[in-house]
Amino acid sequence: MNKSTEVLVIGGGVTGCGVLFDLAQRGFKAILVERGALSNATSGRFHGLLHSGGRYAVKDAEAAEECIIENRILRKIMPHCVEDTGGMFVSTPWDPPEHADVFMKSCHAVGIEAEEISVAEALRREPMLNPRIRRVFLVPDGSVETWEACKSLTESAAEYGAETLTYHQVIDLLTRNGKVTGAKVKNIITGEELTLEADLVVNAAGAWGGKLGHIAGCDVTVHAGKGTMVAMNFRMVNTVINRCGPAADGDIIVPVGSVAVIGTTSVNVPDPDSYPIEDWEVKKMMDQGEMMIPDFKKFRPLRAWAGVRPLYQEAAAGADLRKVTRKYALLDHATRDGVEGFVTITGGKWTTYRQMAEHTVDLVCQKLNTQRECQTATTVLKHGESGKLFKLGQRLENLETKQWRGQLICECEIVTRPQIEAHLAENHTNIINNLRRDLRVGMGPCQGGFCTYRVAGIMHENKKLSAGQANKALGDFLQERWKGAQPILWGQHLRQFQLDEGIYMGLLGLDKLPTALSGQDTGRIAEVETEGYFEVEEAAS
Amino acid sequence: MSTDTVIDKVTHSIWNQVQYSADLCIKCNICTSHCPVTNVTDLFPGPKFVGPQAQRFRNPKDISVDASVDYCSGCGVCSMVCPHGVKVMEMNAKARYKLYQKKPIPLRNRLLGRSELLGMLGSPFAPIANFMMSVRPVRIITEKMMGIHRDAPMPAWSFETFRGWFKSVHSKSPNRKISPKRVAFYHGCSTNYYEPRVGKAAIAVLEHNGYEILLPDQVCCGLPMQSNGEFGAACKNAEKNIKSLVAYAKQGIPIVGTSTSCTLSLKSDYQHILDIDTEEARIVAANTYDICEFLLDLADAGELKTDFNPVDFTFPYHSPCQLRAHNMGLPAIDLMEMIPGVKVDHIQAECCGIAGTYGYKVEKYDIGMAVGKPLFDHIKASGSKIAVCDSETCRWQIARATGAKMIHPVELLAKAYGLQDFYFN
Amino acid sequence: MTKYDTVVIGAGTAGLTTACHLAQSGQKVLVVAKGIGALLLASGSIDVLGFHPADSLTPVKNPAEKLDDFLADRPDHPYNLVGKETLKTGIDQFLQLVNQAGLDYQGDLNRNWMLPSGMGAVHPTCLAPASMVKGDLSTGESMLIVGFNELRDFFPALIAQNINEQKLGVEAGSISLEINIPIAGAMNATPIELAHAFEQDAFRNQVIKAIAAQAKSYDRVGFPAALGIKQHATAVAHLEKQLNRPVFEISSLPPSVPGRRLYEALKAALLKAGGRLIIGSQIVEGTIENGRITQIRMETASRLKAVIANHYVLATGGIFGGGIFADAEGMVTEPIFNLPVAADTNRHHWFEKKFISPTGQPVFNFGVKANSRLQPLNGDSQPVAENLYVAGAVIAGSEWTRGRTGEGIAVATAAAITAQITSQAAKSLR
Repeated sequence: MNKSTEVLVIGGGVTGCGVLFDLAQRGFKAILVERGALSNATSGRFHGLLHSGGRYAVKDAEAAEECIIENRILRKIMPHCVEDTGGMFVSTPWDPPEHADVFMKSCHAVGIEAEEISVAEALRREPMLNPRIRRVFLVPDGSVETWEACKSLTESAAEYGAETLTYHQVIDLLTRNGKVTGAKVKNIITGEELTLEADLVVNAAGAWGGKLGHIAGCDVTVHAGKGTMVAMNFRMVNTVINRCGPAADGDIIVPVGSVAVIGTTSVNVPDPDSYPIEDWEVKKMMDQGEMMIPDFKKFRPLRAWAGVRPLYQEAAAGADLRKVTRKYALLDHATRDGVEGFVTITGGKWTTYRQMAEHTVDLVCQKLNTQRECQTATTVLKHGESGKLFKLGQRLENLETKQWRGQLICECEIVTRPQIEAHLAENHTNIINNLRRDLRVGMGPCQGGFCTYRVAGIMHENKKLSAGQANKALGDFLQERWKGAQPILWGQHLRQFQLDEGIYMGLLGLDKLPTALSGQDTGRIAEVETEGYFEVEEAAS
Repeated sequence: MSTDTVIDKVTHSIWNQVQYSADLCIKCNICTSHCPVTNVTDLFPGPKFVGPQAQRFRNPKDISVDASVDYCSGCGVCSMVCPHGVKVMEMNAKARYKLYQKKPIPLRNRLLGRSELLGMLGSPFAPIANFMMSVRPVRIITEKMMGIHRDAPMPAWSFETFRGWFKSVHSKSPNRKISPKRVAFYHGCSTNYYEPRVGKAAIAVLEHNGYEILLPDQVCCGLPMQSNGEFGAACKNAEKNIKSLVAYAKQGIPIVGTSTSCTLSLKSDYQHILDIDTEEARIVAANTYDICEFLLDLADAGELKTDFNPVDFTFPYHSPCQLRAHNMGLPAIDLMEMIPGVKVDHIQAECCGIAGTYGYKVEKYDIGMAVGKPLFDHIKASGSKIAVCDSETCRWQIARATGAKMIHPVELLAKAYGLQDFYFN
Repeated sequence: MTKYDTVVIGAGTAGLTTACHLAQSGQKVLVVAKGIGALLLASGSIDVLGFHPADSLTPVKNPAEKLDDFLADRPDHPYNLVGKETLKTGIDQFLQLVNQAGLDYQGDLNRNWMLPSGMGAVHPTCLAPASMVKGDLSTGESMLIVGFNELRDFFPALIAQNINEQKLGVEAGSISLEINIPIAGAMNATPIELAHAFEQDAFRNQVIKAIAAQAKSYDRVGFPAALGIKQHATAVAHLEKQLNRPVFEISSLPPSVPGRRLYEALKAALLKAGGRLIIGSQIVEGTIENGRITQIRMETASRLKAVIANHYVLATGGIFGGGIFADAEGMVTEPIFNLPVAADTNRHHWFEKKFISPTGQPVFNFGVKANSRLQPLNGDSQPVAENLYVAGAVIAGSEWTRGRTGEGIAVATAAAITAQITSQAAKSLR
């Protein structure tokens, strides 16, 4: 099968999606390919912070300024993905007072609205904070829903004729006379191979950008910096809490959706497809949390996961990854490596995706000899038309006002049957994890204890699956939830999992269905999830 | 050392305990399956739904998005049956408070919340007031204007208040007991304005057992205001009561009450729902006793007089939700069974449906009656003309629904001691 | 202080069964529990030995025959504490207890019923309510499985297909009814609401009318386990009469209605025998003096209250029940008496990589070690206190899912402890 287009974007993280939309809006014919589901890699594995720039203000003014500008833009173009949590920078007894002294000035210098409030006022707003905090500054941090954002970007792009192909993995790049002319991709689900020809290929493959560049014959060094995060079941704070000091592990708690995320670590891993979560990382997150919130460890961790940051370096480095710039890099491989038809956009952070995309598409315009204005800063994306920012209570309100009707399938995260059925009708995989990502099914305290069975039953009915397929979908999802639970499985959450086990084994007997019927030994449907997993230690320790 | 860190004394206010306890929910739905309200109406989606589940979607910075939590009756069965320690009822109470912050509290709710005021208004005119409340057209008008259901069990005012009796009659009586063993009696609005006989029975029984009764300054416990979302007003009352009662508690004088709701407020609601997180509140709580609890403790210590006359009867007994929420068992049963000839038929019913002021409201009356139906049916089927219950509003609800005469357990004791026979206003 | 003969801590199967036996033997018994136990979440049947070895996919047909092998292969399992005879006694005593309490449970140690689960898997169980036993898959009779569109926790088509695919000799058909379940808001129908609905004549008639035609093609009709709570017998009888064929229940997601019936029956039996039950009070600590528990303290609304008894039974469940607590640092504790817990403190050893692990998760086997008298043991393998006993899932080795032995442990240890305590009590009278 052959397709041809003007620009092929490889990578369906927020940057890739942003590039696709900008391209499409500027009139380019464009296709995006992503080997998994949208936003399943780095974009879906960070802490969800919409930077105010406060984290960079003191040490990196340029990055800080970029952040605050984009922060304001994103609130306008994708309000439904942004929660206005506000942010606090707290100077604890363990933070250098000098940093606090220069903090406000540094923020104001780049246009970030920062305001100091009394500790008493901070405790009034967030009673769980450590009363030993010395100083508190307010900044316009927020939190973002990445899947909603990527969905809005690709759907908006579709309105301009762009195409998004998920579960399409790049097998090879096509080259002719030193020019990249497209890519050969494989539909992981059907096995079908496609040849996609393009005038220009944009490498937006994030932490895999180096690998992809290598296939094109370019030397691109992208470090994979693993970061582990823990989602806490209960939002014990409703404001982003940052430590007021130089960047460190576990110095931020982000209330995002129905959870509070504490992050993160920074560990160089050789392979972006393999990043197991280590004990010390989880322990560190919990210990760090205690410094901001004294009762932090009493709360229930819901899930641990890791993601890999793409850290671009022009030359190879071994030093502290935090010192490798978080700025992005836009590489024209024609000038840099003598390879035409290929550009790479890498590095950067979620908050500045739009600007990264803008510069990328500016380069595309240049290379394809057209001059088209970027309008993404002022274009409201699909689903954001109401202008209303995301609110935590949105789903509950929808239920209470009867706007949402129908059976409540995932009770924890409030997902109704009509929503699930609509999703099943639009999407073609039998993977419950996809529903989870888009609708939040199974992401609440019971981690799929009740809803997995219901969803499998609905899938069986609606999609006319065989019993075996339904059983397998069920078992696969439970396994997927199990993986993220083990690093933080203790206390009350452990009780939850014994209940879930009691339901699926004791009551439903999933473990006693014949192997052929349960589908548990036949290998998984190719799903390029590469979540960190809990490594079983060898006897040595 | 306990399983739940909820029990640990945490560093900040006790709000944390209720809020944190949502974290403990593992979604088993045991609470929902026992909720008496959700089992009779689809207007209430259940305690798990409006409790720990919705709690994760409540941002204290935003206005409340709740609606259905208003149908929670506050009976507390959910908190009681939860095997994980989730304080569901308390969570719902706070959510209801927040709900009412965004809209004006109806006059009806304010009025129902002010039981002391209602008592004061009616008591001096008791005969007329009671007559009016029994006249159908008056009740219909009250329903239309105030939203108080025409059939709701309005209790009869007593012309003679308990306090009035205590001060003008009892304290002047030569038979009044003076003793080094003393209790401070918390009568509450119901005993004071509607059922002084219950208070009189309690006094008689306590004095018979060698106690002198002191009458502290006190105001309404505030629970009706709290249940209707008026936390500010409830706190004012709470603080007055704490200030008055702590003086007795600090001297080691126990605070004893005959209303299980009032004593529960003193023991628990002040701290856990109204967030009055002070040392004084804790001292008052630790020294508050329900009358049957107090008497049974005496019996266990071998200090309760057992010179009972036999009473040969099987008494149907309803254990009120607000009594079970004391988490101390059912002292009334053991106490009553000490009387020769008494058998207690403990009715296995969750709730009578009145739930304080809940069942009085026109939009909730039917729910209340449906909730209480199994209980009413049992009493009717028993053929007994008399039944026992520790809580006043339950007594009124059951009396109205079944026609039975309702007594407080202490009245049975008073009768068995030969101190006071049953009599009804 | 009110003195009891025995105080049982925990209101699960083990706790309530022990308490009922003791109360019926004439003891003054108090059951105190923090909440209602796992009874309400499990299927309501008594699993004694479902599979051996645990990872086998072939159910045990005759538990009595397999027991010797099991006892030999699983020295760590609580059955080895009580022995085969007491297990048998426990089952008989339990059966008698519930039958007298008005529940028609059936079965014996010589056969396992092969019941269909809410996924159509085979659930081998020893004692089960008559209403579930009629669904036994080993009879080869065909079945129509009936679900309700408003009940989200039961998928009849999936159940039927899984049964058919397993080629068990049973032909299963399915139908899902578009009938309004009264009192259930559309979002929230649980089996409990359905059970209340089934207690109404009108509802049952609606159901009968909707399935009568199709039911004629099948030997029996299966419903979600929700055929009434108090009026269960009436509901079943009516359905069977009108459909003119046996009717049975299939367990699915909690809350469990058969579990609820069992709880209500045990509670009623306890109260009828003069026992007392306090739900909602947590026991926070106990005092040991001279090798005896002298009192325990329960948390009431505003203070701790002492409870005194001659004997104490700890039936607080394993990790799920809250009787065993495992923390972030790998410490595993028994929170009331601080009993030593047989556990691995290395969290990496707690779990298997697979959730659906054929041999279960090691962490759920952690528990208190006991001797053959069911007294919990200290580090020197001596009883911690002569008047303290442990029943049910709090005992080490009680991982209940894989071998399907959980309720067997409960009723067996209940019988053993009852025998111990009654003989102790008799001795002290002399």
